[in-house]
Amino acid sequence: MKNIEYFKPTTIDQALRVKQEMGREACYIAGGTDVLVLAREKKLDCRALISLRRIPELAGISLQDDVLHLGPATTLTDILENGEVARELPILHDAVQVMGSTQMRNMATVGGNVMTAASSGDTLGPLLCLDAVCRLVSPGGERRVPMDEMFVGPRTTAAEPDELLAGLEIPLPAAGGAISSGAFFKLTRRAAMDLALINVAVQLWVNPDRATIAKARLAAGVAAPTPVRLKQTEEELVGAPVAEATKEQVAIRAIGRECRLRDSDRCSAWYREEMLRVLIPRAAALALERMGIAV
Amino acid sequence: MSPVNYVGKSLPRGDAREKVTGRAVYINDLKRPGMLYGKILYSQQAHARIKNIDTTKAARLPGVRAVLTGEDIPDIPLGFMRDNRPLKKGKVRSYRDEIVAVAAISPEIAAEALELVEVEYEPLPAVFTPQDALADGAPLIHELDARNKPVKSNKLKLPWRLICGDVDQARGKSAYVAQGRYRTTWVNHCCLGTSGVIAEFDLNRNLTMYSITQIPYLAQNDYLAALKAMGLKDSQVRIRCQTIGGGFGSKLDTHCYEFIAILLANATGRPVKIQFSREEEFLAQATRQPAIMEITQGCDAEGRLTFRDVHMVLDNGAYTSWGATTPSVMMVPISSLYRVPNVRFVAESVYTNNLYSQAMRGYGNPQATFAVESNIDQLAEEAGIDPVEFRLLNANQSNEITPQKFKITTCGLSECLEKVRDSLGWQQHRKAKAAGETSTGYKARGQGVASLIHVGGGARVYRSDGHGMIMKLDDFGKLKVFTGAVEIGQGVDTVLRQMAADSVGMRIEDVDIVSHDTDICPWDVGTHASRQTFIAGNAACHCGREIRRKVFELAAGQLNRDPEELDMFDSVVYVRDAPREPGQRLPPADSGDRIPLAKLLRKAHFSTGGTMVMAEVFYDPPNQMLDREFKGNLSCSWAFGTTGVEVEVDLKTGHVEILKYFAAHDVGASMNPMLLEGQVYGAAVMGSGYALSEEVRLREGRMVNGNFLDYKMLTALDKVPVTPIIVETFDSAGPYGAKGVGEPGCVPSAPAIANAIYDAIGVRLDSLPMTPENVLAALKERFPDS
Repeated sequence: MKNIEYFKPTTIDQALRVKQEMGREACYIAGGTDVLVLAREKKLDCRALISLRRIPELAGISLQDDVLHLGPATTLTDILENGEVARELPILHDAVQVMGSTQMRNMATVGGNVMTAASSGDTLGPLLCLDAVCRLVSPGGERRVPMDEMFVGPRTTAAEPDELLAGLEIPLPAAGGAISSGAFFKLTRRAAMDLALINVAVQLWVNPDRATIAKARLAAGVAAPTPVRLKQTEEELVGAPVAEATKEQVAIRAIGRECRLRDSDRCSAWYREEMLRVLIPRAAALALERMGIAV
Repeated sequence: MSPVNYVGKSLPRGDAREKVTGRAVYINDLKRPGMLYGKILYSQQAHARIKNIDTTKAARLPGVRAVLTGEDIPDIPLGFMRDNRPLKKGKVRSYRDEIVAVAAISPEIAAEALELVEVEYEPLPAVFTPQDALADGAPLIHELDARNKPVKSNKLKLPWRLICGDVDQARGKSAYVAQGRYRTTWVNHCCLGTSGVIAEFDLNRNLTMYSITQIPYLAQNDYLAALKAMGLKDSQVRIRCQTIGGGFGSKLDTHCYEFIAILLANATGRPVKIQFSREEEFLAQATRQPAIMEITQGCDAEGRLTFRDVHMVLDNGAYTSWGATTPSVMMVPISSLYRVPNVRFVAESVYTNNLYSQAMRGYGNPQATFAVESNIDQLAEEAGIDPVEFRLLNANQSNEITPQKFKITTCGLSECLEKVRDSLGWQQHRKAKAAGETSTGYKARGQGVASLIHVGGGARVYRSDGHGMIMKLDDFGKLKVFTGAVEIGQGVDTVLRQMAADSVGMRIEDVDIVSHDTDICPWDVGTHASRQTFIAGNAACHCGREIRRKVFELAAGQLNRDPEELDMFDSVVYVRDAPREPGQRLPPADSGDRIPLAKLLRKAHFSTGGTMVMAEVFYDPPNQMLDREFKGNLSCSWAFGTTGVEVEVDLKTGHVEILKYFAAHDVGASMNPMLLEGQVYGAAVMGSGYALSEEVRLREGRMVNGNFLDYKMLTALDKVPVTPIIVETFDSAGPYGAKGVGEPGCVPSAPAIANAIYDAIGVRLDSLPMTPENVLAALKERFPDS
């Protein structure tokens, strides 16, 4: 970590300018809980760090017209303590609650989790299920990328080198009187300070009859090289009785078609598969329970 | 002895404030003027000849002051089998092998220099299991023994063999027999303070080690031997222990890095510090001894144990440290936990290209007890007897002699078992289980117990189990206690202060402990075997009595009384039978029947032909070394305990949650309930981690989880709901009746949890750790159709 230049821009424009000048030699850093780990492992290939912590417009949570605007530099602690997130987005609240430790949540940011793009990133499944949109800005302007198009490879996002994640927009699932809720489960070897062996996020919308599914979103982490949405299953669930989402058979089908599980030093593939079968139905059941629907 | 005023009270640790405010100086904090930083290059091969090491570039790097390889240093044999060297020469035998050391003006430069070292290896076939190491034609890890004689096999010349009675005959007569095969793995001590040392020579070539050792006086001996090999035969060694961030046995041996620091300091003429990173701590620190254990036990028709037969194979790793001697303590539960007349225990250690092992809390006892207590449940089931009843039937009792010739003076085992049984609600749980109420949906609850025996009154593992102590009274009436005991977090300083204050009759505020310095403090054999409360405590009682005697002699003249008429309380000497106000322990201040200690000592110092008050004691307890048959009364008293847990197992994920955890300990007498409970809490979490999650994972000898993310030490959120239960048997050998309790808490955790899992799901987990993945795999194997 020696001879690394450290920039402390206070506006997005300043940050973009530094990045434009230095290109791949500079790397953004927010909370540092991923970047500094890479640096310590000597896997950080850059000679400058651009801190995003002093840019006020990058942090904060606000609600406008049924869309939650989540600043990427918002810390996990701030998300955890936000009443709207707890009430409207339990799927995200669940995830943030089990990330790292209090000290790490005080540093780590949601934007960092997105841009690190690890398959195990705990906010990624929830953001996928919530149809969140990333606002990417560059000196050339701004573009909006659906979360579903962000994760293009292992630890790789759709953002270009000169682009900065400037905002996350989450349409409230219950907007316009829709009936919806979600849940997130993370499988770990201990209760804190741990990475997911697998994680599962499920957001369900039900029809006014409260008996059939109007829309479904299912996502899994560490089930493939990137976080994945189980799209075929989502489509099959539309119109199905609510109980269908909690069936192990549905999970088994989804895993077979849409996951690519592997053995690692942390966990074997068979156990990951087994746990997806258990946790997808459990997450769906909890989501329904949160809507007051018993199955 | 004076009345008990502080012993038995929950006084906070003396060092608590310093530690929580960050004022305590750990080795990590310490710098010496002109100090250099040493770093070590470790092997990149599990087993290989070192063809060439090119250090030219490293030596040329600005800021580098010394580069050493195995070729540059004298022969300094390390480890009790003398099979290790500070820097390896000729070949490497594991990934943790030190091959190059650098001293530089900053840690960064030292690290950069290591990257410039070029090592050429010629890989050799390697062996990673004892079975492979014992196979015909297996490559030899060490071609020569300590006497440079060729060896034929990777088996260590360390035959552990304990025979009591006739196992084979007893087996034939047993009504029930149960057999099991159990396995434990490598775990790291996970001391929050990583290893570190500063070696510093003065101009007379005398060496000071700023150290974190648990054995300052034995370490002194090891360092002196190294200095002699380096040609410094007249040099002296002083060891100054810093605040120690956890010991747990990891500092019970002297380690390669300490000798490397000495060699670098000698080469540069400057103080050299080596401070491990966490990754290095995992890579290079020796672990708990892993074991493969076969056990068979039998009982008669009534359930009385008839025999216990245990065979173990130990993966020694590439070098020997104390791990290879842990069978000496494994024998304790194998021969003497419950009454079992016929015992056979055979263990063999085998060199492999893995990590090597050393002492760790319990010293082999947790491994052996995992096998014994898991198998006791198997046997109780065979015999159709309730597991707690079975244990009560066979429980050790006071005043008995075990087959290994241990003299059990006091024994609270039955009381521990009963209290744990009742706290757990054992009978209610049995009824609920019979009614099918302990499993609901995909969750099943179960209860299990396991007990322990451990040395509680020192342990004569060396020729001496001695402890030197000096007490000095100054003319302000303050007592300094000079002790060889090392405070490694267990709280010995606080307990010694309590015992010293009471044994003399002083206010605790007037008593201080002086320790951690071999130039100042008298000799002690080491802080191990849960011995300091017992041993140093006894020393404090003896020494305190001597101080009182001297004080009363002085005071007799001042108070015009015979010494026998005097007593002392609250740092005031007084006439025992003098008139006093109701409810007052001391006579009135103006009565002439009392004199404050400070005044007495000032008079003693500031008078013609004056005197001072000091006392010294060398306390060596009346215990015995094990004889050639590994028999003898190793300890003056024996500690017992029972752990009982209730778990809930998720049948779909294999996750085990501990719902209740009761830990009953026969501690003789509680010196400080708060500190005692702290030991029990810490040990329970360490034991539960050993049971459920902790494991150093090696793939072909290479560690794949050497960090706190992937090595799953339990966190504060993994709540182990520990309730300590203190059982007091007041053993007369102990100071104020106390036995040691430093290690016992972590001994029975794993079998208690394994037994509870079995009770919950009907599957016996025979390998540690019992991770969710392993539990689920075992469930699937046992019930393939569900």
